[in-house]
This record gives sequence, C-alpha cells and structure tokens, in this order.
Amino acid sequence: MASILVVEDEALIRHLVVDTLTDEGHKVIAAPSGEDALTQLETQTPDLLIVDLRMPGMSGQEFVRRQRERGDPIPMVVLSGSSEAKQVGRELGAIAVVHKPFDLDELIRIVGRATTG
Amino acid sequence: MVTTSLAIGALQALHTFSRSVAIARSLDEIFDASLACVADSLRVERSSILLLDGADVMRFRAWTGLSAEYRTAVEGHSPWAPDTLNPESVLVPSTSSDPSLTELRPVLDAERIKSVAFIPLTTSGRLIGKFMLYYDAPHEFTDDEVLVAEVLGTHIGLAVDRYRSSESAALNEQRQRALVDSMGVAAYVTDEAGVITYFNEEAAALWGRRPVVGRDLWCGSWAMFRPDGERIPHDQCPMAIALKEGRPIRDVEIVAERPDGERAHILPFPTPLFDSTGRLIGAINVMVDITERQRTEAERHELLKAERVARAQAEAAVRARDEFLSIASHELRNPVAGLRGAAQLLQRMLRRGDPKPGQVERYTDALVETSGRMARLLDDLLDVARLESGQLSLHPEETDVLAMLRSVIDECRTQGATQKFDLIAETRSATILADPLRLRQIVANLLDNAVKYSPNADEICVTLRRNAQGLTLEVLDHGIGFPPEATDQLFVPFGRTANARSANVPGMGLGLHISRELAEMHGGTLRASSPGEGLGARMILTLPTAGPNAN
Repeated sequence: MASILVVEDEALIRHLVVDTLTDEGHKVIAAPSGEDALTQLETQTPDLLIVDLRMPGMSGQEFVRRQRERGDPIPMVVLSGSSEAKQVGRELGAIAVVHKPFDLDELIRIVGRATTG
Repeated sequence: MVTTSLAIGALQALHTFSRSVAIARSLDEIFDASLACVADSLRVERSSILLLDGADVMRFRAWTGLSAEYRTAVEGHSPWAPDTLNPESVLVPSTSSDPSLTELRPVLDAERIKSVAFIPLTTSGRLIGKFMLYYDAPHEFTDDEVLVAEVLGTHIGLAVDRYRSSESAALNEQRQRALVDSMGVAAYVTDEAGVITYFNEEAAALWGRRPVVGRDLWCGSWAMFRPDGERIPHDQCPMAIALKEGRPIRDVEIVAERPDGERAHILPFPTPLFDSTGRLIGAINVMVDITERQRTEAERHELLKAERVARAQAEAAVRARDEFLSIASHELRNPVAGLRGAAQLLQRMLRRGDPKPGQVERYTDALVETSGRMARLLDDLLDVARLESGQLSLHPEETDVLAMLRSVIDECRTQGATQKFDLIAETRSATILADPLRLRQIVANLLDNAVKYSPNADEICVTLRRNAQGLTLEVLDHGIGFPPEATDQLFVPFGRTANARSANVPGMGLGLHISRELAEMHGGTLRASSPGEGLGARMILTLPTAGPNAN
C-alpha cells in the first residue's frame, strides 16, 4: 500500500479522506495548510499528495510549486470544488482531479489507480 | 524789418485765417480763407494754392485771377523735387530774365505775369504743396514780404495737415463702426476712459439693454459673474482690466445677467487700441455667446456620465455574479462534500457491521453541524434575494432590546463562545418598535461576528445606550479587526476582507450586508470601525424608538 499526504484546510473533508484511505490500508498523514505540509515533507516523502486548491494562506498551486523547488516531484491528485480545477490540475501535472462533492468509492478508485499505476 | 503796416495787416489777416480754419468743414473753405489771407496780408491780387496729389504731381486746388488755359499749361510744374526736405521759397523778381522759366515764358507772357514767388507748403519739413504769388510787373521782394509769405505758407500747411488728420480720424471711426456692424457677433468700442462710444445690435441683444453711448462704462451689462457664480464688480470686468492694464484679455469666461434675469455665458475678447505714437485711445470688445455651446456640452457631459455609470453598474453586476459563483462554489461545495462523505462513511460502516465508535460520533456530529451551517447559509442567501427584490417585509411590535440582548448572549455561550461578555446597559427602558425576529437576526450576527473574529480574546464588550432618538448598541471585540480602507467592503454582499479570509474564519460575507439593510429598514444605521488589522472591531447599531416608519 502507499503512503499519502492530504493537504486540506476543511477539517471534515480532511478527516473523511484520511479515515477512508486509512481504512483501505494506506498510510495516510494530513496537513491543514500548505505551510504545515511543507514542514512535514522535510522529514518524510510520501508516494502521493492529495491537494486542495483554495486554502487560506498558501494556495494549493503555491504549495505544489514550492514542493517541486525543494525536491523530486511527488505524484499528486487535486481535490477541489473550483470550476477551474480540471484546468489547474492539468497545468500542475496532476495525475487526476477529484471534484467536490465526491463519492468515497470514486476517491478510493482514483487513489488506487494513482498509487499502483 | 517788417514794416508796421504790413505787420499789422498780416497779423489781422492771420487772425481771420485762423478763425476761418477752425470752423472750416472742407479743404476748399480752408483754401478760400488762405487766398483771402494772402491777398489781405501781401496785397497781391493774384495767387493760387497747389497740392501734391497721390502721384506727387502739383495740382491747382484754389486760385484767383488765373485763366483755365494758364492753369492747364503750368499744372505739374514745381521748382522742388517732391521728396525735398525743408524746401525753400523761390522768388522770381522778373520772369523775362530768369533762365529757369524760359520754357514757360510764352504762357506767363500770355497771362501777363511778370514776377512770381513759389512758397512751399510743408508739414514737419515735408513738401505737401505750394502757394503762388503773381505780379503784373517785375517785383523786388522785400525781406518782410518773404517772411510774411513763409509764415503764411507754414500756417496753410498746418491747416491742411490738421484737416487731413481729422478727416482720416473720422474715416477711421466710420470704418470702425462699419467693421463692428458687419462682425455678426456682439461687439462694442470704448474710448480710453472706458466710456462706450459705439455698440452693434448683437451686443444690445446679448446685454438685453442699450447702454447710453458717451456715458455708460466698460460693459453694457449691469450684472456680471464668474462661472462659479461669484459677482464681478463692474470696474473689474475684462474690458476694464484690458484698458487699465493696456493688454488684451483672453481665456476668461463670464456670465452676464440681462435685466430680464436671463443669463448668458460669454467669452469676451477685449483688445486695447493705440495710436501710432503708442498712446491708448480706447478698446474694442468682441463677445462670443457660448451659452448654447455650454448647454450642449453640459448635456453631452451628463449623457457620458450616465453612460459611464450604467456601464460601471453592469460591470459591477457581472463582477458580483462571478464573485458569487466563486464564493458559493467554495462555500457550498465544501459542506456538501462533507455531508455526502460523512453520510457515505457512516453507511459503509453500518453495512460492514463495523461501526468505529470515535468515527461514528465525529461524523454524526459533523452531519448535524454542517447541515445547520448550510441551513443558515441558505437563509442568508434567501434574505439577500428578498432584500434585493424588495420582498422582505417587517412586522414591528414592542420589543425589549435589553432582554433580547441577554438571550442572544446566552445562546452564544451555549454554542461554545470562549469569550466573556461584558454587557453594560446604560438604560433600563430599552423597549422600541421593531420586528423582533429581524432585530434578533441583526444582534445575533453582530455577536457571532465578534465571537468568531476574536478567537484569542478574553472578552467582548456590549454597550446599550438610549438617547432622544432611540437606542445605540455597540459591540466591541479585540479580534483581527480590518484595515480602515476596507470598512465599506464589509457591507457589500460577499465582501469579505482579505484578513478575514486568510484567518480561515468561515463565512460568505453576507451577514453584515443583511444586518445593515435590516437596520436601515428599521430607520436605523449600522456602522463599523477598526483601528487596523489585529486591533479589534467596533460595530455601532442605532435604532429609532419609533420604529421602521420613524422617517
């Protein structure tokens, strides 16, 4: 199974993603902001990032840019309710885009494909 | 030495001449007076006056005792070139022995002229003509005769010159009037003292009156103003200044009021006039009526402004819609995603028969909390829509604001507010006419905001005061505040400040907009202030005692 870092400011969504993917057997850690996520990445390198775009403080885009400045790019899935999520995801080189609101099954399927492919 | 009799005769003749010249209405009258004077003072029977014409040819202008044949034969003859300066008299005591007149001798003989004198007429030393003395017999000229003749020549020259310049002045004035009349725009002329000497019909029409020529000063209008409405004293009008300062005045706009009260916008062009020696002799003023142009420009300006406002409103509407979509998609999708995910997770656990206790509690709590948040959001959105379409109505009744305040504070405490509420009621009678549900909505919004925007503060200060008009409720927190320049933005729908967003305080930015609208529907006001980011915020709500229809 894969190690995953979830970057999401909305607590309920963050818990949902963590609990659901943990239940699937993944090793999941979470960060409520891009700043916090960058700190966590200093000590560990997960297999996959799940990133919200619209967050107070550092945006998802900014977080991804900084992560790539610091080390090898980590595969990434965008998790967003923005109507431009698809386009932003493509520009960032995301493996997939999960639109809010999403089905848990859909999340599990997309993450499964992203970590095994 | 002038003989006494000649001198007295000459003086008498000159005196008569001067008087005649003073009242002369034509050059011919001056010439007649000149010849009479010559005859009297020099006792000569025949004499003539010739002037240089435009082609510098000597032409007979007046004569006594000369035949037409003679005049035709000698016309044009002159002992001086036309440009001779200070020409001197030429005396011919005997024509038969003077070699310079050989060619003319037959003509002179036929006219029985045996002696002649050529006396030049000059002005400022310049030759303008001559007068001639003719004698039947050879004549020896005495010094006295020559002196008297030359004095006469000087006087005749002066008289001719004076007449000519007065004639040209009259001609100038005539030309000036013709010019003023034919301009087609209002124009008038004054003398050097500013006394109006002439005006055209257009000027009279513009002024709405006819100034008295020779009396009225500077401008025919009685009342003049600057475009900003300040009155211009008559002696400070552009024409008066042009005369006073001896320079043309331009780029000044004035408003002239006619006696009937109608006002005209005028661009005056006052220009002082000088004679050839540089002496100020008057001024001319042309006045362009720009009233119509001003009106058209003002109308065009209004149209442009209206168009700009309409476009700005349309752009603002588009921006507001985009902003709404952007905020709504974030503010609605997140809780919906949470609800949906929480419900699905609970469902999966139930289906598997493996409800993890911690998670069941977390997600059922989340369902309740989030669906409540969405219900409030929906209420706010509906309120905004109702306010915008004017479909929100109030149901006022006697309402005790202090009791309501206490109840809302209790509610905040039960919902987990960590701050202490410091309630100061400076009045005991806090009853006003208001819609209790809507008023509670306003008060709850103000207290909720104070709670959620000051998470690290210890207390929230709430003060209720009463004055003659009504009640004032002040809510003071020690939270994140806002930059003073963002004050207006707080009350715009979705107008959340940047620091509120980045502090991760949930909200769509509708509450204060709705509260202010509701306060104003009650006849009250809602204002906000903050010393700056991080320095807390103060909300001041005023409500009239008499309720929504107070105004």
